[in-house]
Amino acid sequence: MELRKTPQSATPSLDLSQLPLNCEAVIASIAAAPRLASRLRELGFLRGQPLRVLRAGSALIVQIGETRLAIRRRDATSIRLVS
Amino acid sequence: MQTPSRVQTLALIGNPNTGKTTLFNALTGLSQQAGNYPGVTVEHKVGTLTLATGTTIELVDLPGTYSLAAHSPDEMLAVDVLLSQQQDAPPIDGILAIVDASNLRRNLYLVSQLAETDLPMVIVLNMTDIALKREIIIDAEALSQKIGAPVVPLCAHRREDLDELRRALAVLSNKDPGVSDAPVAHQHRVTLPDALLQGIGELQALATRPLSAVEALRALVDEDSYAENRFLAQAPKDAPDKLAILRAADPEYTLSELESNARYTWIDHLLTDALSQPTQSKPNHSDRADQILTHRFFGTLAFLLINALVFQAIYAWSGPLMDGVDALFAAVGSSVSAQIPPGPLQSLIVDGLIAGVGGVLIFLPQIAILFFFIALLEDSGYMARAALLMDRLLTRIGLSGTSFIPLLSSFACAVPGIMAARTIEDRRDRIATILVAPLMSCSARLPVYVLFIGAFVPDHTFLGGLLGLQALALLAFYGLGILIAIPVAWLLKRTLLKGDPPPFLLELPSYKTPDPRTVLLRVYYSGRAFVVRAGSIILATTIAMWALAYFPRDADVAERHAIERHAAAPSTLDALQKQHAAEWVAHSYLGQTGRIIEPIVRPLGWDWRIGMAVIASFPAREIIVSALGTIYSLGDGEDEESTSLRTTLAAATWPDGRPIYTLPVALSIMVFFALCAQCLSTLVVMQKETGSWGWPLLSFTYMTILAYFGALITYQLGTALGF
Repeated sequence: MELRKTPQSATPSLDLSQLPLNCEAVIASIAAAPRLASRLRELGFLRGQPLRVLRAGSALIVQIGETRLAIRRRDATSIRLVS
Repeated sequence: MQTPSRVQTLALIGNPNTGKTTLFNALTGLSQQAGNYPGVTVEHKVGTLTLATGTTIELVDLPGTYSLAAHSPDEMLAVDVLLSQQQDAPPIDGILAIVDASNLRRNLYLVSQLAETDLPMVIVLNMTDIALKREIIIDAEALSQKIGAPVVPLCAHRREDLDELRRALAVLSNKDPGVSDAPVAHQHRVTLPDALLQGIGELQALATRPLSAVEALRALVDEDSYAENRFLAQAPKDAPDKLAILRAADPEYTLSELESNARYTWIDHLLTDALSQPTQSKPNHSDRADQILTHRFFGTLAFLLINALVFQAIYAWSGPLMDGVDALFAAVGSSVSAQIPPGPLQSLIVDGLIAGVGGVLIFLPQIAILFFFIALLEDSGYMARAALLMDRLLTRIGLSGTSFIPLLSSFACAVPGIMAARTIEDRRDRIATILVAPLMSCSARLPVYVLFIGAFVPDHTFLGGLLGLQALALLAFYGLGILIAIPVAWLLKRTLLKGDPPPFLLELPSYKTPDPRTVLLRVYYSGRAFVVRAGSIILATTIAMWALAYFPRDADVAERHAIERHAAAPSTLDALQKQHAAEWVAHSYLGQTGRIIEPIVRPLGWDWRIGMAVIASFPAREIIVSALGTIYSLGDGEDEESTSLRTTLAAATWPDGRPIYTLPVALSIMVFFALCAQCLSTLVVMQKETGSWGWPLLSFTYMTILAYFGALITYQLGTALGF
């Protein structure tokens, strides 16, 4: 688990919607439908890439590399983080 | 050897939010031939750019896209034009790729795909100023060496950088024929895994028409995509099975994963020497702004305040301008009356053209201010935040945040709004968005609202003059369309267009200072479109209206009028002339038809004049202003002193002397216009975008019914309450 601020909150399998605000974690896999998955990968959501959540809510704001994206909580659950 | 001197056509392509439109504007300026529609890049726009050598190049501005894997019709258009497969677009000779220097890694993904098109390419490294601020340092020379194409660093708003780019483009277009067509050499391209290369080869062998490697790769990798469907439509029957086998080539990864991994590996290899950036980026002004602007409470508050400000500006700033234009037309009308003898010609010019078309043109300042703000908000990066805030609400009615920009564009004009719906991937969502788009109050409704609100809503101000009752009334009418769109969309998504809300992914670009040139060009092009409209469809309908309201001129009636005028005392002559003018209009074809339809519109509080003006405005809403202008100008008989339409309406009475335009009547007319689908262009574009007349027909029917009953309820309720 690569949570920098709250390592104690580490659970064996964490998805993006559960990542606490402003904590960095690393992508393990993407289990989305083919279209969403390929769009996410084009945007840089690859295995091993670190990302952060900047805003919680029904739509999250995610920072990955220099890209800032809004993604729905429901879609965010398909992005598994390294445990 | 000389190549045939055909004009070179380059495609300008890049990710969304890379400053592509700004660059396009800077390079081509006023030479653009967009569709007649104002709006974001929804059509491929073509502009001409002149190089230092004097040769000209055509530049095609393509919709922004992250990849050549097209998911939406918008992205498909970009790919089709690029690969010279779009019938009405010119064939492409080369690529001008634009990348965001502050987000180079992700932007190079598309570049890696563009290198495979076998077209020569020049890469523009844009937003170098923002990159520098974030301490991102890029070695353009090293990058160019590795990519195998020229890389020109630039800030699109700095002119000296543009000269450098023009030189690079000149090199691209003026080299020897053998060299100028040189695409990116193979040793520079991404090394695709064998599973992909093999698949490309097999698909090319299967296809019944020549299939480029780029097309084959997309059909192979992108499941359930345009590319795949297009390939299968022209392939043997067993192609789907073969495709399935090819897609399962790798036991561990999907082909899509193999592709993106290969591309990012290539990118990371490129960037090791060419890019240096701080490992942890510092919080910048965008971060701080987003803390507030995307906040659930403060962000929504800011959104509402921004909107209120726009409406106040439309009202407060345009007042003096409008009065000026109004006075100008009145003066022109008087001088024409003095120069041309009375008769059909004078009447056509004064009552038809000046009172009619001129009455519409005076709303140009409002249109310009509206587009100014839309361009400002779009270019600053705020729109994406607004879409994010609205996603929450849009999800509840079955749409998503991707519908926000098309709907918002519809406040300017439903035509570009409907075309902007091409960015929506899901078909059902796209159609639902298209169907409610005409409910958003477009700029053509603005003249109607401004006319009636200005005449019949008291000019109170609150908060020390900061907010006026008239501006609030205007805001309310904009709100009405939205309010009605909610149940309509909800119902559509639960019946005809049932389906889950599709995924929502939206990039939030960094905030930036809007580029004045981009904003002003937008205002210019939309203002021009408005004037063109006034000079075409509105002019034609107005002339038809005038003719219907002027003829027939029976000789016996004219004779009787002449005798009456002769016999009248000088003091009663004015009143008599007025009475005669009114008699002519009532006697005209328009007046005769008007009395037939009057029973239908009476429950709405309208007389036959309003009824006819509303019917005339079904091709385009603004016509009501010109139609009323013509009817009242004809029926007034006072040619020398053209008064503004506003004053004329307030003075209009029923035969028994009661004023026609009471507050409930004015409101009932505005409600009708807020809800009705009075726009031929919208219905036509709806047919084009949905591929069927069923949807525009549905839209027209439901909106007309809503409009009639909305107006009915407004008038009856208003009257019952004693207004």
